[in-house]
Amino acid sequence: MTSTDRETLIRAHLDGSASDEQVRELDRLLAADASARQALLNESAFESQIRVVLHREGTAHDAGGGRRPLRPRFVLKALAAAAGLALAVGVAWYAVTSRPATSSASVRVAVASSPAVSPPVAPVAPPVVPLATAPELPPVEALGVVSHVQGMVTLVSSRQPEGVTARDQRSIAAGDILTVGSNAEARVRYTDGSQLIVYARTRLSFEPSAGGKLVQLDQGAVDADIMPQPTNRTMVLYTARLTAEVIGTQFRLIDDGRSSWLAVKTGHVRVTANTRGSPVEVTGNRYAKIGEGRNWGPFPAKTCPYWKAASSKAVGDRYP
Amino acid sequence: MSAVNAQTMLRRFVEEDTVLRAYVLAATGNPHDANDIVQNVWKVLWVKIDAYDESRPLRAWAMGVARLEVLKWRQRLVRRRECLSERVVELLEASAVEAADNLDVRCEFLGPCLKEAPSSWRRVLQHKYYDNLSIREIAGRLARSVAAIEMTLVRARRGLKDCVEKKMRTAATVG
Repeated sequence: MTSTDRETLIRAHLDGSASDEQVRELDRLLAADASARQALLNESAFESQIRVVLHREGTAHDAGGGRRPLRPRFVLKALAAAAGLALAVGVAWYAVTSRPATSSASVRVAVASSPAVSPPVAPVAPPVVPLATAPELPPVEALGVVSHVQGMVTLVSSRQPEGVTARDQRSIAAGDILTVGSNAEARVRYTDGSQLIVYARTRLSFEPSAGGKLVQLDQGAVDADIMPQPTNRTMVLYTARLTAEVIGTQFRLIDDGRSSWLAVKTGHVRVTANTRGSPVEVTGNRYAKIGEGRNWGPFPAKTCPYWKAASSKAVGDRYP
Repeated sequence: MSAVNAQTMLRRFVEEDTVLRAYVLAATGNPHDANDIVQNVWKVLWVKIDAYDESRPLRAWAMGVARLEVLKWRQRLVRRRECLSERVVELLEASAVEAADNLDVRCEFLGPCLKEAPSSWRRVLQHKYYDNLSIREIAGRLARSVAAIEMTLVRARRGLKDCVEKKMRTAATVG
C-alpha cells in the first residue's frame, strides 16, 4: 500500500465517509503497522485541536460565511460618542424596570444548581478595557468578558446600575444584565472558554450561583458553545418556560415571547419544563419547545423555525 | 476532596484533553460521537475522583476509561456498521499514550497558524470543524463545487501542518 492510499483511508475514516470495506482495510493496516497508527493519531489530534482552537478563540464566526463582519473597535468608539450615554441609560432603565421578580423558574434553578467546585479550565482573564462613558469600579470576580460587540449593547451591573455601553473585553460578573439592541450582536466568553453568541433584541441575566454558571434568558435568542462542565457543576440556562442543564455542548436557546425553543447542535442537554417535573434529554440535531401550540419533543431540528438562521438579523426576523 | 485538590485535578484533566480527544476520534472516526464519549470520560473520572490515587499517572487512568467508553460505543454500533476492531482500539490506546507529549507540542502551535491562515481557508475550516457541515453543505453555502471545497480543505490542512512544522523548527532553534 502506498502512502497516498494510506492517507486516503485515514481521511475517509476521519470524515466518516469510509465504506465498510475501507474500514476493514484500515483495521488490517492499523493492526499491522505502528507508523499507520501514529499517522492516524497525528491526523485526529490535528483535527480535534482545530475544533478546540476555533471554539475557544471564537474565531470561527469571524471567518464570515453568512455572518456579517464585525465592526472595528474605532467605529464602536465613534458610535458610543455619538449615541451618548442617554441611549445607554434608557435601555438600561428598561432592562431594570422590566425585569420580573424572582419566579418559580429561578427558584427551581437555584435548587438545581450545585455546590461550589472550581471550573475545569481557568485561563487568565483577558485585560479589561476601561470605558469612555463611565469609570470602572473596583473589579469583582469576573465570569468572563463581552467580546465582538456589534451595535448597541448595554450592560447593567450592581457596580454600574445606571448601565454602560458594553465594549470588547468588558468583564461580566454575577448579577449583570446584558441587553442587545436591534441590529446588534455580542458574544460572551467565559473564563473556561465557553461562549455565548447573544443575538439582537435579547436580554440575558447572569445570575449569582454557587460557583457555577446560571443564566436567565429573559427574551431573545442565544447560541451556546459550552466546554465540558464538571458533573456536579453543570451550567444552567433558563427561560420563563424551560430550564436547560448543560454538560458540554453546542445549542441555540430562544424565547420569542410565546414559546421557548432549545435546539441542540452537538452533545446533549437536559431540559425541564418549568411547569412539570420530568426532564428530557435533547441530543444533537433535535430540539424541544415549551409554550404555545404543540409542546415538548425532542423533534428533528430541521423543523425548528430558528434552526437555520445564521445571523442576528435572521434569528430576529423570525420572532413573531 | 478539597477545593484546591479539585482545582489541581481539573487542571490535570485539561492537560490530558488533547491526547484523549485524538485517541477517541481516531478510534471512532466520528467527531460527534467522539465529543460525546470524551464528555462521558470526564464525567466518569470526576465521579470516581475520590478513589483516584494521585501517585498514579492520570493519563493511564483517563485513557483506560476512554478505551472502555469507546468499546461500549463500538458494541452498540458494530451490528449496524463496520467499526475498527477491539484489538486496534487497544493498540491505538497504547500508541496514543506513547505519542502524547509529541501531540501536545504540535498542537501548541496550531492557534497562531490558524490566525495567520488566509480567510478563504478559515471560512471553509469554520464550516467544516465549527459548524460541522458536510463538504456538500459547505459547497452549497459558499456557492462553490464540492471538488473545490475538498481541494481547499486539503490545502488548508497541508498549509497548517507546514506552518506548525515551521514554528516547531523555529522554536527548537531558538530554544
